Amino acid sequence: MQSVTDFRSFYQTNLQPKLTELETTRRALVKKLIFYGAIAFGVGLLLFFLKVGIWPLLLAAVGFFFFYQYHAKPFRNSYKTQIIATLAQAQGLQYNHQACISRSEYDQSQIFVTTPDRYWGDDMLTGTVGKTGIRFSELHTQYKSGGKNKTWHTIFRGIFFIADFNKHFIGETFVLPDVSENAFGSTLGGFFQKLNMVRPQLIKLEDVEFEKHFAIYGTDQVEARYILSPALMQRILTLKQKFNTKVALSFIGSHVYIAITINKTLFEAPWLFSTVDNYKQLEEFHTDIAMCVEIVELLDLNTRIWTKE
Amino acid sequence: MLLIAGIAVVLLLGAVLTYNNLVGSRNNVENAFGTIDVMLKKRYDLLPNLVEVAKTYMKHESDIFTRIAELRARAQSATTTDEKVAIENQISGTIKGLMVTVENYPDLKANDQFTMLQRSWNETEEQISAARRAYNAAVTAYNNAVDKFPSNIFAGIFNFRRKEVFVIAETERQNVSAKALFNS
Repeated sequence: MQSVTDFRSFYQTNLQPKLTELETTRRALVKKLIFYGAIAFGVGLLLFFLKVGIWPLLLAAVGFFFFYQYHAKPFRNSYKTQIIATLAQAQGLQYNHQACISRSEYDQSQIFVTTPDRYWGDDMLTGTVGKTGIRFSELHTQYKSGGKNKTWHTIFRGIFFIADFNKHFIGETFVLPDVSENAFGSTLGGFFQKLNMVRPQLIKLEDVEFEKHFAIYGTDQVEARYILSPALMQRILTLKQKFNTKVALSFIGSHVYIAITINKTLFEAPWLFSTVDNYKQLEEFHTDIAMCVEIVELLDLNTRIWTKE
Repeated sequence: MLLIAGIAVVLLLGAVLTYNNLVGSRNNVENAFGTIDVMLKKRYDLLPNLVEVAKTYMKHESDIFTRIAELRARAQSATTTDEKVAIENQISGTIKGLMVTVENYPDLKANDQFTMLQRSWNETEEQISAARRAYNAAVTAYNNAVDKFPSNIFAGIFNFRRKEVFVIAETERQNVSAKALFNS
Protein backbone atom coordinates (compact mmCIF):
# COMPACT_ATOMS: atom_id res chain seq x y z
CA MET A 1 0.00 0.00 0.00
CA GLN A 2 2.50 2.57 -1.13
CA SER A 3 0.77 4.70 -3.72
CA VAL A 4 -1.45 7.68 -3.00
CA THR A 5 -4.55 6.24 -4.68
CA ASP A 6 -4.24 3.20 -2.45
CA PHE A 7 -3.97 5.36 0.60
CA ARG A 8 -7.06 7.30 -0.37
CA SER A 9 -9.20 4.18 -0.53
CA PHE A 10 -7.67 2.93 2.73
CA TYR A 11 -8.44 6.29 4.28
CA GLN A 12 -12.06 6.12 3.12
CA THR A 13 -12.77 2.59 4.31
CA ASN A 14 -10.62 2.24 7.43
CA LEU A 15 -9.92 5.68 8.77
CA GLN A 16 -12.94 7.84 8.02
CA PRO A 17 -15.46 5.96 10.23
CA LYS A 18 -13.07 6.30 13.18
CA LEU A 19 -12.33 9.91 12.34
CA THR A 20 -16.03 10.77 12.25
CA GLU A 21 -16.46 9.28 15.69
CA LEU A 22 -13.44 11.15 17.03
CA GLU A 23 -14.64 14.32 15.42
CA THR A 24 -17.95 14.09 17.31
CA THR A 25 -16.07 13.68 20.58
CA ARG A 26 -13.81 16.58 19.69
CA ARG A 27 -16.72 18.91 18.91
CA ALA A 28 -18.40 18.07 22.19
CA LEU A 29 -15.13 18.79 23.98
CA VAL A 30 -14.69 22.10 22.19
CA LYS A 31 -18.21 23.15 23.13
CA LYS A 32 -17.48 22.30 26.75
CA LEU A 33 -14.20 24.22 26.63
CA ILE A 34 -15.82 27.27 25.07
CA PHE A 35 -18.69 27.21 27.57
CA TYR A 36 -16.53 26.98 30.69
CA GLY A 37 -13.88 29.23 29.15
CA ALA A 38 -16.44 31.93 28.47
CA ILE A 39 -17.74 31.74 32.03
CA ALA A 40 -14.23 31.89 33.53
CA PHE A 41 -13.09 34.77 31.34
CA GLY A 42 -16.43 36.57 31.75
CA VAL A 43 -16.14 36.49 35.52
CA GLY A 44 -12.49 37.46 35.23
CA LEU A 45 -13.28 40.45 33.04
CA LEU A 46 -16.16 41.54 35.29
CA LEU A 47 -13.92 41.49 38.34
CA PHE A 48 -11.26 43.34 36.35
CA PHE A 49 -13.67 46.13 35.48
CA LEU A 50 -14.86 46.23 39.07
CA LYS A 51 -11.22 47.14 39.84
CA VAL A 52 -10.64 43.99 41.90
CA GLY A 53 -7.39 43.52 40.01
CA ILE A 54 -5.91 41.61 37.08
CA TRP A 55 -5.38 38.37 39.01
CA PRO A 56 -8.87 36.93 38.40
CA LEU A 57 -8.18 37.19 34.68
CA LEU A 58 -4.80 35.47 35.06
CA LEU A 59 -6.40 32.83 37.25
CA ALA A 60 -8.94 32.20 34.51
CA ALA A 61 -6.18 31.82 31.92
CA VAL A 62 -4.21 29.36 34.06
CA GLY A 63 -7.38 27.47 34.93
CA PHE A 64 -8.32 27.28 31.28
CA PHE A 65 -4.89 25.97 30.37
CA PHE A 66 -5.13 23.09 32.86
CA PHE A 67 -8.72 22.45 31.89
CA TYR A 68 -7.60 22.14 28.25
CA GLN A 69 -4.73 19.81 29.10
CA TYR A 70 -6.99 17.69 31.28
CA HIS A 71 -9.33 17.06 28.36
CA ALA A 72 -6.82 17.07 25.53
CA LYS A 73 -4.67 14.27 26.93
CA PRO A 74 -7.24 11.46 26.85
CA PHE A 75 -8.37 12.73 23.47
CA ARG A 76 -4.81 12.62 22.09
CA ASN A 77 -4.42 9.10 23.45
CA SER A 78 -7.59 7.84 21.85
CA TYR A 79 -6.52 9.48 18.58
CA LYS A 80 -3.26 7.56 18.76
CA THR A 81 -4.73 4.21 19.79
CA GLN A 82 -7.32 4.40 17.04
CA ILE A 83 -5.83 6.28 14.12
CA ILE A 84 -2.08 5.71 14.39
CA ALA A 85 -2.64 2.09 15.43
CA THR A 86 -4.77 1.54 12.31
CA LEU A 87 -2.08 3.11 10.13
CA ALA A 88 0.52 0.84 11.75
CA GLN A 89 -1.63 -2.28 11.34
CA ALA A 90 -2.01 -1.54 7.65
CA GLN A 91 1.74 -2.14 7.35
CA GLY A 92 1.76 -5.16 9.61
CA LEU A 93 3.07 -3.40 12.69
CA GLN A 94 1.89 -3.22 16.29
CA TYR A 95 1.66 0.15 17.90
CA ASN A 96 2.05 1.26 21.50
CA HIS A 97 1.86 4.99 22.03
CA GLN A 98 3.35 4.89 25.51
CA ALA A 99 6.33 2.63 24.88
CA CYS A 100 9.67 3.49 23.29
CA ILE A 101 13.04 1.94 22.51
CA SER A 102 14.46 1.12 25.94
CA ARG A 103 17.33 2.98 27.51
CA SER A 104 19.38 -0.22 27.64
CA GLU A 105 18.98 -0.79 23.91
CA TYR A 106 19.88 2.82 23.23
CA ASP A 107 23.01 2.36 25.35
CA GLN A 108 23.80 -0.95 23.72
CA SER A 109 23.87 0.65 20.27
CA GLN A 110 26.76 2.90 21.43
CA ILE A 111 25.96 5.31 18.62
CA PHE A 112 26.03 8.23 21.06
CA VAL A 113 28.83 8.41 23.59
CA THR A 114 27.37 11.16 25.78
CA THR A 115 25.36 9.78 28.70
CA PRO A 116 21.90 11.31 28.59
CA ASP A 117 20.47 13.04 31.69
CA ARG A 118 17.01 13.09 30.20
CA TYR A 119 15.58 10.22 28.20
CA TRP A 120 12.18 10.52 26.59
CA GLY A 121 10.35 8.63 23.86
CA ASP A 122 6.99 7.38 22.66
CA ASP A 123 5.18 5.87 19.67
CA MET A 124 6.77 2.45 19.59
CA LEU A 125 6.16 0.36 16.48
CA THR A 126 7.10 -3.32 16.28
CA GLY A 127 6.69 -6.03 13.73
CA THR A 128 8.21 -8.42 11.25
CA VAL A 129 8.84 -7.44 7.66
CA GLY A 130 9.43 -10.60 5.64
CA LYS A 131 12.00 -12.45 7.71
CA THR A 132 13.29 -9.42 9.55
CA GLY A 133 12.13 -8.29 12.96
CA ILE A 134 12.04 -4.52 13.35
CA ARG A 135 11.13 -2.01 16.04
CA PHE A 136 11.37 1.74 16.16
CA SER A 137 10.13 4.70 18.13
CA GLU A 138 10.53 8.38 18.57
CA LEU A 139 13.33 9.30 20.97
CA HIS A 140 14.70 12.49 22.44
CA THR A 141 17.80 12.36 24.61
CA GLN A 142 19.47 15.31 26.28
CA TYR A 143 22.32 16.15 28.60
CA LYS A 144 22.67 19.14 30.87
CA SER A 145 25.60 21.44 31.27
CA GLY A 146 26.61 24.26 33.57
CA GLY A 147 26.34 24.42 37.36
CA LYS A 148 23.66 26.79 38.60
CA ASN A 149 21.97 27.96 35.43
CA LYS A 150 21.96 24.61 33.73
CA THR A 151 21.06 24.32 30.08
CA TRP A 152 19.80 21.29 28.23
CA HIS A 153 21.39 20.13 25.00
CA THR A 154 19.96 17.61 22.61
CA ILE A 155 22.04 14.50 21.98
CA PHE A 156 19.56 12.87 19.66
CA ARG A 157 16.08 13.59 18.47
CA GLY A 158 14.30 11.53 15.85
CA ILE A 159 13.52 7.95 15.00
CA PHE A 160 15.55 5.19 16.58
CA PHE A 161 15.30 2.03 14.53
CA ILE A 162 16.44 -1.50 15.41
CA ALA A 163 16.38 -4.47 13.05
CA ASP A 164 17.66 -7.98 13.05
CA PHE A 165 20.70 -8.11 10.76
CA ASN A 166 21.01 -10.82 8.10
CA LYS A 167 24.63 -11.83 8.70
CA HIS A 168 26.37 -13.29 11.73
CA PHE A 169 29.09 -11.22 13.34
CA ILE A 170 30.76 -10.91 16.73
CA GLY A 171 32.46 -7.52 16.79
CA GLU A 172 31.18 -3.94 16.77
CA THR A 173 31.01 -1.70 13.72
CA PHE A 174 29.98 1.94 13.62
CA VAL A 175 28.93 4.06 10.65
CA LEU A 176 28.77 7.63 11.89
CA PRO A 177 28.18 10.96 10.19
CA ASP A 178 31.55 12.28 9.15
CA VAL A 179 31.94 15.45 11.15
CA SER A 180 35.66 16.00 10.95
CA GLU A 181 36.18 15.15 7.29
CA ASN A 182 33.43 17.58 6.32
CA ALA A 183 34.88 20.35 8.45
CA PHE A 184 38.61 19.88 7.79
CA GLY A 185 38.88 18.15 4.42
CA SER A 186 40.05 14.61 3.89
CA THR A 187 43.69 14.83 5.02
CA LEU A 188 43.34 16.82 8.23
CA GLY A 189 39.89 15.36 8.88
CA GLY A 190 41.28 11.87 8.49
CA PHE A 191 43.95 12.77 11.03
CA PHE A 192 41.27 13.79 13.56
CA GLN A 193 39.28 10.63 12.82
CA LYS A 194 42.30 8.55 13.73
CA LEU A 195 42.81 10.46 16.97
CA ASN A 196 39.32 9.54 18.17
CA MET A 197 39.81 7.93 21.58
CA VAL A 198 36.28 6.74 22.28
CA ARG A 199 35.81 4.61 19.19
CA PRO A 200 37.57 1.44 18.07
CA GLN A 201 39.98 1.59 15.13
CA LEU A 202 39.20 3.65 12.06
CA ILE A 203 38.23 1.69 8.97
CA LYS A 204 39.00 3.14 5.57
CA LEU A 205 36.62 1.83 2.95
CA GLU A 206 37.14 1.94 -0.78
CA ASP A 207 33.85 3.64 -1.63
CA VAL A 208 34.83 7.31 -1.93
CA GLU A 209 31.27 8.60 -1.89
CA PHE A 210 30.48 6.59 1.24
CA GLU A 211 33.65 7.81 2.94
CA LYS A 212 32.62 11.40 2.21
CA HIS A 213 29.43 11.01 4.24
CA PHE A 214 30.50 8.63 6.98
CA ALA A 215 33.34 7.81 9.32
CA ILE A 216 33.58 4.08 9.97
CA TYR A 217 34.97 2.54 13.13
CA GLY A 218 35.12 -1.11 14.05
CA THR A 219 36.71 -3.72 16.26
CA ASP A 220 37.66 -5.90 13.29
CA GLN A 221 38.85 -4.69 9.89
CA VAL A 222 37.69 -7.79 8.03
CA GLU A 223 34.37 -8.15 9.80
CA ALA A 224 33.51 -4.49 9.18
CA ARG A 225 34.03 -5.12 5.47
CA TYR A 226 32.08 -8.34 5.68
CA ILE A 227 29.13 -6.36 7.05
CA LEU A 228 29.65 -3.31 4.85
CA SER A 229 29.75 -5.01 1.48
CA PRO A 230 30.04 -2.66 -1.53
CA ALA A 231 26.30 -3.18 -2.12
CA LEU A 232 25.36 -2.28 1.45
CA MET A 233 27.45 0.89 1.32
CA GLN A 234 25.44 2.04 -1.70
CA ARG A 235 22.24 1.08 0.05
CA ILE A 236 23.11 3.07 3.16
CA LEU A 237 23.82 6.10 0.97
CA THR A 238 20.39 5.71 -0.63
CA LEU A 239 18.83 5.46 2.82
CA LYS A 240 20.51 8.70 3.83
CA GLN A 241 19.33 10.44 0.68
CA LYS A 242 15.81 9.19 1.20
CA PHE A 243 15.50 10.55 4.71
CA ASN A 244 17.59 13.54 3.71
CA THR A 245 18.97 13.98 7.21
CA LYS A 246 21.74 12.88 9.57
CA VAL A 247 21.86 9.09 9.85
CA ALA A 248 24.10 7.02 12.14
CA LEU A 249 24.31 3.24 12.29
CA SER A 250 25.87 0.59 14.46
CA PHE A 251 26.13 -3.15 14.02
CA ILE A 252 26.30 -4.90 17.37
CA GLY A 253 25.14 -8.26 18.71
CA SER A 254 23.38 -9.41 15.51
CA HIS A 255 21.39 -6.19 15.24
CA VAL A 256 21.61 -3.07 13.17
CA TYR A 257 20.78 0.13 15.05
CA ILE A 258 19.89 3.21 13.05
CA ALA A 259 19.49 6.70 14.51
CA ILE A 260 17.66 9.02 12.11
CA THR A 261 17.66 12.64 13.18
CA ILE A 262 14.27 14.27 12.65
CA ASN A 263 13.35 17.63 14.09
CA LYS A 264 9.62 17.30 14.43
CA THR A 265 7.24 15.49 16.76
CA LEU A 266 5.85 12.42 15.09
CA PHE A 267 2.38 10.92 15.18
CA GLU A 268 0.70 13.63 17.28
CA ALA A 269 -2.98 14.51 17.12
CA PRO A 270 -3.80 18.07 15.99
CA TRP A 271 -4.87 20.42 18.76
CA LEU A 272 -8.48 20.37 19.85
CA PHE A 273 -9.57 23.45 17.90
CA SER A 274 -8.82 21.99 14.49
CA THR A 275 -10.34 19.00 12.79
CA VAL A 276 -8.87 15.51 13.16
CA ASP A 277 -9.95 14.68 9.64
CA ASN A 278 -6.80 16.12 8.09
CA TYR A 279 -6.03 14.02 5.02
CA LYS A 280 -2.65 15.58 4.35
CA GLN A 281 -1.40 15.00 7.87
CA LEU A 282 -2.66 11.42 7.93
CA GLU A 283 -0.92 10.76 4.68
CA GLU A 284 2.28 12.14 6.16
CA PHE A 285 1.99 9.77 9.14
CA HIS A 286 1.44 6.93 6.73
CA THR A 287 4.53 7.90 4.71
CA ASP A 288 6.65 8.19 7.87
CA ILE A 289 5.76 4.64 8.90
CA ALA A 290 6.16 3.34 5.34
CA MET A 291 9.64 4.83 5.09
CA CYS A 292 10.77 3.04 8.24
CA VAL A 293 9.31 -0.26 7.03
CA GLU A 294 11.09 0.31 3.74
CA ILE A 295 14.46 0.36 5.50
CA VAL A 296 14.34 -3.45 5.52
CA GLU A 297 14.07 -3.53 1.76
CA LEU A 298 16.49 -0.65 1.26
CA LEU A 299 19.19 -2.42 3.24
CA ASP A 300 18.20 -5.78 1.75
CA LEU A 301 17.79 -7.35 5.18
CA ASN A 302 15.42 -10.04 3.91
CA THR A 303 18.11 -11.64 1.78
CA ARG A 304 19.04 -14.61 3.89
CA ILE A 305 21.58 -16.41 1.78
CA TRP A 306 24.08 -16.63 4.63
CA THR A 307 23.95 -19.06 7.56
CA LYS A 308 21.72 -16.76 9.59
CA GLU A 309 18.05 -17.56 8.99
CA MET B 1 73.42 24.89 22.36
CA LEU B 2 70.10 24.16 24.04
CA LEU B 3 68.32 25.00 20.80
CA ILE B 4 70.42 22.58 18.78
CA ALA B 5 69.83 19.84 21.34
CA GLY B 6 66.10 20.61 21.20
CA ILE B 7 65.99 20.33 17.43
CA ALA B 8 67.99 17.09 17.56
CA VAL B 9 65.52 15.57 20.04
CA VAL B 10 62.52 16.58 17.91
CA LEU B 11 64.16 15.15 14.77
CA LEU B 12 65.02 11.91 16.51
CA LEU B 13 61.50 11.59 17.86
CA GLY B 14 60.09 12.23 14.40
CA ALA B 15 62.41 9.59 12.93
CA VAL B 16 61.36 7.00 15.51
CA LEU B 17 57.66 7.69 14.93
CA THR B 18 58.02 7.51 11.16
CA TYR B 19 59.99 4.29 11.31
CA ASN B 20 57.49 2.72 13.71
CA ASN B 21 54.63 3.75 11.47
CA LEU B 22 56.31 1.99 8.55
CA VAL B 23 56.85 -1.18 10.55
CA GLY B 24 53.31 -1.01 11.90
CA SER B 25 51.73 -0.72 8.47
CA ARG B 26 53.90 -3.52 7.11
CA ASN B 27 52.76 -5.78 9.94
CA ASN B 28 49.16 -4.83 9.22
CA VAL B 29 49.65 -6.00 5.66
CA GLU B 30 51.06 -9.33 6.82
CA ASN B 31 48.25 -9.74 9.31
CA ALA B 32 45.64 -8.99 6.66
CA PHE B 33 47.23 -11.51 4.35
CA GLY B 34 47.09 -14.10 7.11
CA THR B 35 43.36 -13.48 7.46
CA ILE B 36 42.79 -14.27 3.79
CA ASP B 37 44.57 -17.56 4.32
CA VAL B 38 42.34 -18.38 7.28
CA MET B 39 39.21 -17.64 5.24
CA LEU B 40 40.46 -19.68 2.30
CA LYS B 41 41.14 -22.58 4.63
CA LYS B 42 37.61 -22.33 5.97
CA ARG B 43 36.19 -22.50 2.49
CA TYR B 44 38.54 -25.29 1.57
CA ASP B 45 37.16 -27.39 4.45
CA LEU B 46 33.64 -26.87 3.17
CA LEU B 47 34.41 -28.18 -0.27
CA PRO B 48 34.41 -31.98 0.37
CA ASN B 49 31.09 -31.78 2.26
CA LEU B 50 29.48 -29.78 -0.50
CA VAL B 51 30.68 -32.18 -3.16
CA GLU B 52 29.61 -35.21 -1.12
CA VAL B 53 26.01 -34.03 -0.79
CA ALA B 54 25.72 -32.76 -4.35
CA LYS B 55 27.19 -35.94 -5.84
CA THR B 56 24.39 -38.19 -4.61
CA TYR B 57 21.85 -36.16 -6.55
CA MET B 58 23.75 -34.97 -9.58
CA LYS B 59 24.69 -38.29 -11.15
CA HIS B 60 25.02 -36.86 -14.64
CA GLU B 61 27.45 -34.10 -13.78
CA SER B 62 30.52 -36.17 -13.04
CA ASP B 63 32.65 -33.78 -15.13
CA ILE B 64 32.29 -30.96 -12.69
CA PHE B 65 33.22 -33.14 -9.73
CA THR B 66 36.31 -34.44 -11.45
CA ARG B 67 37.26 -30.85 -12.12
CA ILE B 68 36.74 -29.85 -8.48
CA ALA B 69 38.80 -32.82 -7.28
CA GLU B 70 41.54 -31.86 -9.69
CA LEU B 71 41.55 -28.24 -8.54
CA ARG B 72 41.68 -29.34 -4.91
CA ALA B 73 44.70 -31.50 -5.58
CA ARG B 74 46.39 -28.61 -7.38
CA ALA B 75 45.58 -26.19 -4.57
CA GLN B 76 47.26 -28.51 -2.09
CA SER B 77 50.45 -28.69 -4.09
CA ALA B 78 50.54 -24.99 -4.95
CA THR B 79 53.64 -23.28 -3.63
CA THR B 80 53.56 -19.61 -4.63
CA THR B 81 50.89 -17.20 -3.48
CA ASP B 82 50.01 -16.19 -7.05
CA GLU B 83 49.44 -19.79 -8.03
CA LYS B 84 47.33 -20.39 -4.93
CA VAL B 85 45.17 -17.35 -5.60
CA ALA B 86 44.70 -18.35 -9.24
CA ILE B 87 43.52 -21.84 -8.26
CA GLU B 88 41.22 -20.49 -5.56
CA ASN B 89 39.68 -18.20 -8.16
CA GLN B 90 39.04 -21.17 -10.40
CA ILE B 91 37.43 -23.05 -7.54
CA SER B 92 35.15 -20.07 -6.93
CA GLY B 93 34.13 -20.03 -10.58
CA THR B 94 33.51 -23.77 -10.73
CA ILE B 95 31.33 -23.76 -7.62
CA LYS B 96 29.39 -20.81 -8.98
CA GLY B 97 28.71 -22.91 -12.07
CA LEU B 98 27.68 -25.83 -9.86
CA MET B 99 25.21 -23.63 -8.00
CA VAL B 100 23.64 -22.62 -11.30
CA THR B 101 23.23 -26.26 -12.33
CA VAL B 102 21.58 -27.09 -9.00
CA GLU B 103 18.50 -25.32 -10.38
CA ASN B 104 17.93 -28.41 -12.57
CA TYR B 105 17.83 -30.70 -9.52
CA PRO B 106 14.80 -29.80 -7.40
CA ASP B 107 15.45 -32.65 -4.95
CA LEU B 108 18.93 -31.38 -4.23
CA LYS B 109 17.69 -27.81 -3.98
CA ALA B 110 15.19 -28.90 -1.35
CA ASN B 111 17.81 -30.82 0.65
CA ASP B 112 18.30 -29.10 4.02
CA GLN B 113 21.90 -30.10 4.38
CA PHE B 114 22.69 -28.80 0.93
CA THR B 115 20.97 -25.44 1.46
CA MET B 116 22.91 -25.00 4.70
CA LEU B 117 26.16 -25.78 2.89
CA GLN B 118 25.17 -23.38 0.16
CA ARG B 119 24.62 -20.66 2.77
CA SER B 120 27.97 -21.42 4.41
CA TRP B 121 29.61 -21.22 1.02
CA ASN B 122 28.08 -17.82 0.32
CA GLU B 123 29.23 -16.68 3.73
CA THR B 124 32.84 -17.73 3.23
CA GLU B 125 32.86 -16.20 -0.25
CA GLU B 126 31.72 -12.90 1.24
CA GLN B 127 34.27 -13.23 4.05
CA ILE B 128 37.07 -13.91 1.60
CA SER B 129 36.06 -10.86 -0.39
CA ALA B 130 36.01 -8.82 2.84
CA ALA B 131 39.46 -10.14 3.78
CA ARG B 132 40.79 -9.18 0.36
CA ARG B 133 39.37 -5.70 0.67
CA ALA B 134 40.92 -5.40 4.13
CA TYR B 135 44.22 -6.56 2.67
CA ASN B 136 44.01 -3.99 -0.11
CA ALA B 137 43.25 -1.25 2.42
CA ALA B 138 46.28 -2.29 4.50
CA VAL B 139 48.49 -2.36 1.38
CA THR B 140 47.28 1.09 0.34
CA ALA B 141 48.06 2.50 3.80
CA TYR B 142 51.50 0.87 3.67
CA ASN B 143 52.22 2.09 0.14
CA ASN B 144 51.20 5.60 1.16
CA ALA B 145 53.72 5.46 3.98
CA VAL B 146 56.41 4.18 1.62
CA ASP B 147 55.75 6.84 -1.02
CA LYS B 148 54.94 9.93 1.00
CA PHE B 149 57.46 12.45 2.25
CA PRO B 150 59.24 12.27 4.70
CA SER B 151 58.70 8.60 5.45
CA ASN B 152 59.83 7.66 1.91
CA ILE B 153 63.39 8.58 3.02
CA PHE B 154 63.29 5.97 5.78
CA ALA B 155 61.55 3.52 3.48
CA GLY B 156 64.52 3.90 1.14
CA ILE B 157 67.11 3.49 3.88
CA PHE B 158 65.48 0.47 5.54
CA ASN B 159 64.40 -1.15 2.33
CA PHE B 160 60.63 -0.99 2.62
CA ARG B 161 59.26 -1.81 -0.82
CA ARG B 162 55.84 -1.13 -2.31
CA LYS B 163 53.41 -4.05 -2.22
CA GLU B 164 50.85 -5.03 -4.81
CA VAL B 165 47.11 -4.92 -4.17
CA PHE B 166 44.88 -7.84 -5.07
CA VAL B 167 43.47 -7.58 -8.55
CA ILE B 168 40.45 -9.64 -9.47
CA ALA B 169 41.40 -12.22 -12.06
CA GLU B 170 40.17 -11.60 -15.58
CA THR B 171 38.09 -14.78 -15.60
CA GLU B 172 36.29 -13.69 -12.47
CA ARG B 173 35.30 -10.35 -13.93
CA GLN B 174 33.30 -12.04 -16.63
CA ASN B 175 29.93 -13.44 -15.77
CA VAL B 176 30.09 -17.10 -14.97
CA SER B 177 28.61 -19.17 -17.73
CA ALA B 178 27.63 -22.64 -16.61
CA LYS B 179 27.73 -23.90 -20.15
CA ALA B 180 31.30 -22.83 -20.70
CA LEU B 181 32.31 -24.48 -17.44
CA PHE B 182 30.91 -27.82 -18.44
CA ASN B 183 32.29 -27.69 -21.92
CA SER B 184 35.81 -26.98 -20.80
